[in-house]
Amino acid sequence: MKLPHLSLACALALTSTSNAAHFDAVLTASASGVTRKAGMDETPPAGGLNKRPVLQARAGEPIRIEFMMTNVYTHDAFIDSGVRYYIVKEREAGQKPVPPREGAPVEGSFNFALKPQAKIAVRTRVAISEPGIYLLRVESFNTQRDHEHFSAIDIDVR
Amino acid sequence: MRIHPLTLAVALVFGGIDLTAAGLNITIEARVAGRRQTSANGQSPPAFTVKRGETLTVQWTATNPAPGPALSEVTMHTVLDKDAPATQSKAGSGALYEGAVNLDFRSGERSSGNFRMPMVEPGSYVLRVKSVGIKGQTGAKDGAESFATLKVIVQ
Repeated sequence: MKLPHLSLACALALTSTSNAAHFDAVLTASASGVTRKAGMDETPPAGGLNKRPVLQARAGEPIRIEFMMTNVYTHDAFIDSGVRYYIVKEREAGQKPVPPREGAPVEGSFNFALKPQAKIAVRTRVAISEPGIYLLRVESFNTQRDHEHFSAIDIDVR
Repeated sequence: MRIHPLTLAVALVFGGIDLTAAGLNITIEARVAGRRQTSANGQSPPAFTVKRGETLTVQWTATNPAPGPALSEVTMHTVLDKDAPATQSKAGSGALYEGAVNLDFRSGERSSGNFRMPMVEPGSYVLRVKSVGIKGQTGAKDGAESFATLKVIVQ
């Protein structure tokens, strides 16, 4: 989802939500004029159900990252829950195990009482100078359900 | 691995900010290895100097201190912007980070956020955390928005 001319705050107010359960998520990563987009997935199983898109980028090239997650579960607020994102090096594209995020140089999170229809959005740009395969992932946590939702893209830096 | 944050170019359509009031209590803490600096709403923005290449960790909190009805549909908007006035509410072309989350704040309720990134571009940045959507709500202590700022100087 691209929201180039709106503030994130306005985008939160204007975007519509679906009636699907729990979370909706859209994650995009762009480099060299190419955009890869990932939708919602869930865990367990580890690494989710869907194949991750792969974005090719050159070392040092700007990579634009945007995500928006929407809580579409309409019944209760989730106390002390949140959403986080991170970029971490992985062994190979598409691997199911999620690498430990400790030490990830880029990460962020929001902690709150997640109310129905709540939206969380971030825009940032990074450049990765060291070639390798990286996992870009945004995920929910502590939602007091038997699963969590996430969206992820592999970034192949050459 | 080095991941360089670069300029975030987004157009914002916020109105002006209210300099007089505090519906929420907002705090900011910025850290690099071994050092930290805090700021809060109602406080002149302190300066925090970091070395180029150091990884900056930012933590913010927002609390509704007032009794009474919840503040509903409040957006917490966070920007780390380069060469921006401390009172500017729009993210400029030099912004490294922009985040937003919409919340309800019951009396006494607290929310928080954080992010971490290496600071590789020397310059002067403003870190700003601001509420949007409180103004006019009866549950607000004085019916206005809150914000806290902190200057980050990368040498």
